[in-house]
Amino acid sequence: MPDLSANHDSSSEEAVVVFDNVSLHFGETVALDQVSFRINRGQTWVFLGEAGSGKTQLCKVIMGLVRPDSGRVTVFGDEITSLGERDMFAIRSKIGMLFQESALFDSMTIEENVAYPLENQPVRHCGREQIHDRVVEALRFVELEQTLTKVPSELSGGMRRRVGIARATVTAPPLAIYDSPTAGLDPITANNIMAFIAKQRDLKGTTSVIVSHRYQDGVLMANYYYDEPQGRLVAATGDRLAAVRTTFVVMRDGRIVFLGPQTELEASTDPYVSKFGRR
Amino acid sequence: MLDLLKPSFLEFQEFFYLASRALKNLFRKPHYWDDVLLQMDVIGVGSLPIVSLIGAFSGIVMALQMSRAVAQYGAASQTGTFVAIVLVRELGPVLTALLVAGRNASGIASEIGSMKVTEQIDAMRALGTDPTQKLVTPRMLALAVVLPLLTIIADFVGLCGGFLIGKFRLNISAAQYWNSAQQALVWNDVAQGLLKPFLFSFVISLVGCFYGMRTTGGTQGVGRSTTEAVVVSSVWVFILDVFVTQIFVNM
Ligand SMILES: Nc1ncnc2c1ncn2[C@@H]1O[C@H](COP(=O)(O)OP(=O)(O)OP(=O)(O)O)[C@@H](O)[C@H]1O
Ligand SMILES: [Mg+2]
Repeated sequence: MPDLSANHDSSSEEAVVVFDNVSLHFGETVALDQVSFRINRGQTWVFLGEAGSGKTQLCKVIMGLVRPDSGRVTVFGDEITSLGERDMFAIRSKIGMLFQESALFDSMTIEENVAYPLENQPVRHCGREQIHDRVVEALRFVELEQTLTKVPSELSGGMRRRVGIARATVTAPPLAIYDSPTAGLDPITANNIMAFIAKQRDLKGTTSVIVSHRYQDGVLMANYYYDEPQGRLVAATGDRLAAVRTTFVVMRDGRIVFLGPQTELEASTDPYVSKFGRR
Repeated sequence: MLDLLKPSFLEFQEFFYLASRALKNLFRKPHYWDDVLLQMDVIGVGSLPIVSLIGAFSGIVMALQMSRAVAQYGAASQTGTFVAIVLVRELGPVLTALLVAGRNASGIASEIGSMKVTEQIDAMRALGTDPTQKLVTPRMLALAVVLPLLTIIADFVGLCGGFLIGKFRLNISAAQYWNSAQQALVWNDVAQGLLKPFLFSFVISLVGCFYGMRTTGGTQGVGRSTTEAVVVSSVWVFILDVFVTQIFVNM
């Protein structure tokens, strides 16, 4: 197992999320086991691992939706493990989260869904009048501006994910968490979704946490960037490649069994880890 | 069945924690008045037909039963008195509460339960709202207003049902029936007839929300919480009824 603390080379950079020996149990089930890492501003982190390895719970711990049993979690410099629910709202408004099953409010229209964080977060993002414009802009970003008045049940799974991305990013949060954005989608739709995530990262400078079953998603994030003039993803080279530098994490039964760059992941000889390092 | 009636201490504690949070939210911003109005419409207006229907039938059946019982003492003309007392004190509040428990404790539990299992509750928290404030408090408030009103309507329709029997079967005049009904009721009856639904409303809304909020295990779990919410809230309506009646009887 690699020395995880060795990754903390850039401790002078601004830390966005720091996990320090975080553990979480559900009765007998171990969801997270002694998890430690540090995500700095502007970085992209890709979490891989089989079903039930704790990826979703890890996202929820960052969001303060689940309280770990032990360990410390620091988000934007605030230790959240000791904060009450009401104090969490200010921190949560700096994080956008796409839930695994999108979790759109099915009693509301798409417009109301995307407007929800703008209207409800204690931080005022914009005035009443501007909310509609912001919502349309966020939906246009994921190419769904024609669905404003529809309800979630009228959309396909891929469209719901895109609305979920729009809702997560409408407030332009400095940190975005995407839980399994491509799960259960065909490869073309999946690549489209990843392109939106990369676009968000590269145009807005969003620190990105991506949970996935598909190694391709990570490869895409690590090697491509969104080129605004061309309006599409382009293979990164040289300086650009360094800028989109991506960290890969492989989880198993709540433990981190690998943490490092793509080259190390592909070189890994561990049978479990190398399973995730193949395209 | 017995398992449902044997709530553990921990469950009780969680329930009272939820209840106290919901009550505290009454005095804390933000207030979701739109949701309160929406729930009043769903619960109040939605329950009106069934509550009136059952109210009418209970008045009719009671008048029929009473007329036979009191006829032995030659007091058939007092039918209005008995119908009024039994309806306002007991049957109106309890029947209405049971109907609303069946109709809305289940509705609340299944709605919130589905939101829970599809992560919509987590999404609410993630996007800046407290689910207790957004979902529980409006339902509690709406039911506390609407259930006493529904009970008044059930009482009134029931008295009208009793009147029909009195008039067409027992040949009691309208004046006699309504006079005896009115004279039978003292403030004590009216007070307990309104206090009961007010208290029951908290049991129904909070138990519904409680089981909804603790739903786990997919759609099956939603079904389970719905059943539990109806059974538990109905049982507690009766338990509370005994206590309140006891207090008023001793007064
Ligand atoms: N509410 C819960 N109650 C009990 N156990 C839970 C609960 N939520 C998660 N778990 C357990 O925690 C572990 C981690 O779950 P998690 O959802 O984080 O997995 P995951 O890596 O996201 O899986 P997937 O790829 O299928 O989404 C699993 O063993 C799961 O059974
Ligand atoms: Mg998951």
